[in-house]
Amino acid sequence: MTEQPVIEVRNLTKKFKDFEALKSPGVSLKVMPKEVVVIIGSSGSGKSTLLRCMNRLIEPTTGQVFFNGEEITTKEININEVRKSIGMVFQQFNLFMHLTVGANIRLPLEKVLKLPEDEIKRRIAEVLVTVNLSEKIDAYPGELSGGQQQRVAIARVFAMRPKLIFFDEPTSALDPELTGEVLSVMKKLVTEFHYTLVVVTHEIPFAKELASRVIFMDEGEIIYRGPPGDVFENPSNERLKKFLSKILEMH
Amino acid sequence: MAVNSKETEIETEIEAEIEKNDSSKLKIFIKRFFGNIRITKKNLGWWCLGLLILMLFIGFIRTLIVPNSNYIDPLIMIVDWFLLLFGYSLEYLDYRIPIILRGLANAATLSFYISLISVALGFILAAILAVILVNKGKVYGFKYLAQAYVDFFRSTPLLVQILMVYFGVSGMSLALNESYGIPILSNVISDMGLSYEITLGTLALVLNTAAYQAEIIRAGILSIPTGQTEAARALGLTQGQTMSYVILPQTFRMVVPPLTNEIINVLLNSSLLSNIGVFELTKRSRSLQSVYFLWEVFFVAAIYYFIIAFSLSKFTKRLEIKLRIPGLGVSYD
Ligand SMILES: Nc1ncnc2c1ncn2[C@@H]1O[C@H](COP(=O)(O)OP(=O)(O)OP(=O)(O)O)[C@@H](O)[C@H]1O
Ligand SMILES: [Mg+2]
Repeated sequence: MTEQPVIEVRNLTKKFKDFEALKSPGVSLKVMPKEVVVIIGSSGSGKSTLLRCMNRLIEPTTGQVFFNGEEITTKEININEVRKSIGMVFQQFNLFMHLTVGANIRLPLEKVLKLPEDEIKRRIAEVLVTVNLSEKIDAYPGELSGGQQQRVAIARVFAMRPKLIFFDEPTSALDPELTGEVLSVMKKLVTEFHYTLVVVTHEIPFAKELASRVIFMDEGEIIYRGPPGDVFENPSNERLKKFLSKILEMH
Repeated sequence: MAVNSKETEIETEIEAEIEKNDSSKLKIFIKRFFGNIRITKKNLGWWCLGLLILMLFIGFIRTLIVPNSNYIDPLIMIVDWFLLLFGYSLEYLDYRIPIILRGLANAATLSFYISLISVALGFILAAILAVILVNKGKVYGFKYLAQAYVDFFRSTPLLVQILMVYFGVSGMSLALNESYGIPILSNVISDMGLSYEITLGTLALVLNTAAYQAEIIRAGILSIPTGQTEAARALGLTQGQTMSYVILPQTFRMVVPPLTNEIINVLLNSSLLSNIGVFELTKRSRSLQSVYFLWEVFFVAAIYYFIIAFSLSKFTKRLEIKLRIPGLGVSYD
């Protein structure tokens, strides 16, 4: 028996007014359990749009998304149920500014998962140990560095025990010296907890080390996909070559 | 910094004293208490306000004990003592002064209560309106209705609104009584022990301030970055949960300063209720003026308005700082 993909996208397109952010015939993609899929591509190529369509933060124009074999792009599905199992970490961290670190993690556990109090407390303590921020439990996001905020954001998602986690450029808003701490937490999720991740990032070393597959997007299409070795060591695609040399220049 | 070091000095002194002799707890308490009392230029306003409130409070307690007394009597007494130093008293200067001060004090309380109730009720209505206004799609009809409401009350004079509510409601109630036998509203309200004019006047103020507050809250909601909504929804919170646990709590912290302005606006606007016979501060000063022929009546009224408005702004400033959260909008000094 073949294993079922955690998430599968079939012919997904998205139009904003007249602009095709994801072009027809559409993007198709399968993510298997315990895979780390890295998406790269230049600005405006539709990476964020693809991620957001997969948990329907953006409604796709056409196409289907299946989560654990069940279609979640139908009207009847309760998307809030599905989102319990799909975590998302954003470029801008998006911690709730009026809540302390502890309360940020608590809110979805209490209001969405409706866990009992002792379980909530246990999970908060546990995930803060994982991201190494136990002493900041009563701090407000505004009192933390960018790297610390992003680690809290990861902890908030991790505490939900999702089946898969999306990362949308988690280190792009950070100073270079802070990206390491965030990447190492992400690495921990993969190596220790064997999570399934879909990561949009320009951190080539991270992709080389952890990615099972790399997907290159350009102008609303998937241009190239393959194992990290193929993509980074001997890219056979012209556009991909150009993009990679640009990235290398920047770093 | 200087104040801080002084405070720590006192603290250490107290600590030393505790070590020396822990039987004199009272002495330590007194020292700690008075050690913290320090009048500086910065907290002078608070001292005045605190003293004023203390005197008014004493006065209020006194009204419960002494019949026919006014809550402002202790303040008048203090002024009297002060004048006594120069061989005068208020009554001796002009027998009308104490009467005016007392009469207007009662009216000022009424103005104060009317505006407080109006702002509080208006806030509830405004929060509902604002949520409808920022709602994307769905309740479309409601949205137009809410927008029309806000536009109407913000683009017509308050005085006209007050007259419209007062005469409109009265007229409609009469008509309903004639055709359907529904009891006349003014009777219903007076049976409940309320004043008809005050009730309808407050209603007009509520409707008006709700429109302004709705705009304030709407702008506040829109000022919250969309990332907050995105993160909340991505975690599985429903639209309603996102509003109540993420957006509105942040909004309310952002809108404290503009709402302060609105409370003061309502207080000052409440003077228009004099036109429908509510004996609030303005109406009372006019009637006192017509009896005593003293223009100073209006000066006293102005001072009363000022004291209330100033105290309110002081308190909300305090609230603003209390509610402040690092990294969230509201500036302070
Ligand atoms: N809400 C929107 N309305 C209109 N156009 C949009 C909207 N969101 C995205 N777009 C457009 O869709 C295209 C793809 O955007 P997207 O955010 O997915 O790019 P991206 O690959 O994530 O880029 P970046 O690396 O800059 O984050 C862009 O050209 C953008 O202008
Ligand atoms: Mg993006």
